[in-house]
Amino acid sequence: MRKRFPYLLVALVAAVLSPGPLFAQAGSPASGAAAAKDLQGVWLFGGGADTFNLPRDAPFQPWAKTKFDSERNQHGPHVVIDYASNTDPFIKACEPLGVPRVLLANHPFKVVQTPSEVILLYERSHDFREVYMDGREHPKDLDPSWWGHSIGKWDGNTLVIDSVGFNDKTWLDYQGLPHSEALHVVERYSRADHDNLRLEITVDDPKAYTKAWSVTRNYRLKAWDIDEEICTQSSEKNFEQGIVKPASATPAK
Amino acid sequence: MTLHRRTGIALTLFLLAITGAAYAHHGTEAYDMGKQITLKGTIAQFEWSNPHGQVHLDVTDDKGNVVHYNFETQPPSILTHAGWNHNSLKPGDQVSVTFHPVKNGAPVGIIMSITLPNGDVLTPNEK
Repeated sequence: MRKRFPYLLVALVAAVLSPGPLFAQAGSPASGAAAAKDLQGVWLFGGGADTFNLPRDAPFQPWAKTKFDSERNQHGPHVVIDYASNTDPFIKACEPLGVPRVLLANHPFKVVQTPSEVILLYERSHDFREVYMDGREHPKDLDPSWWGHSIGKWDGNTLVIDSVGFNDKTWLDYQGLPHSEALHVVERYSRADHDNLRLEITVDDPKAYTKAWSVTRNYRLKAWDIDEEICTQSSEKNFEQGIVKPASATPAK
Repeated sequence: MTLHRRTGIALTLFLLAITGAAYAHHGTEAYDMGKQITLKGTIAQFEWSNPHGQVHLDVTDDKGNVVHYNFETQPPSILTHAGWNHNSLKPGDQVSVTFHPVKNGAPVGIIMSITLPNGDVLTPNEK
């Protein structure tokens, strides 16, 4: 009995001093438990049946359905290959992807947390968003902007980001779901376990949709840095010349 | 033989399933994703560029004519995680390229893999 006591003491001290692995078993067999209210790291979209697109049967207002049906891109129900008939503002003019489209890209984003902000760094287009966590409200009469105005709070260990103040120039996804300046996006980020992030996106835009609707997406933690993935008109032109034009040309008879 | 062919088809479908999402950045509508071709040739140019890299390959056909092929790759930021860099392919390199061809018959494709002169194989898949 006197001999066994030191072992127990050593084990207890090791458990207290150890930064993680001893506590990491529950729900997280591979990489240790996630700290509370901590989403920091680089996250990559986990793929899925329709990686780039939100539902095609969103509850459109009539004008929004008409606009959606008129859009043409390489994705979605109205596919075109050539750039001339493509209506995607990102392909045509490298305009910002905006929210929530940037979250559907197959490129990672990095979450940085400070005491007063969450900063989201997107590899896609090398863009960023600041989410104010200091308790402020959205300003009144926001000027419309590409990325809107975002405030956040913690609901338990779920980060809830509330964004308004968008212009109406972006698409919600790659197939061309439209929105108005009344767009209100709520993102709820929670860790399923250390390496897996679940995001629920709610689109609330009563001018474009008859009711609010939600989708979920999953992301995996990567030991990566954010690289440079920038849309420039010269690079799009080069890709169009080298690949898109010959690929979309009518075959010679 | 039939069994091997079935296995091959199953493997191809599996590879398509796991790589499909990553390929879709600019869409794959132009390509015949059910068809796969392998060609040997000489690298004319390698563009490490957004939105997608481009591999220019000179291929000599049966009659001795040189056909200039152009292949789309994933963006550099994705290729980086698959073990590529801007020096992976150099003009003059003799390589073997496996690709999905475009549907219209133009000498254009999207790359599945490249076998380098030293036998190493580059794919767009994360290592």
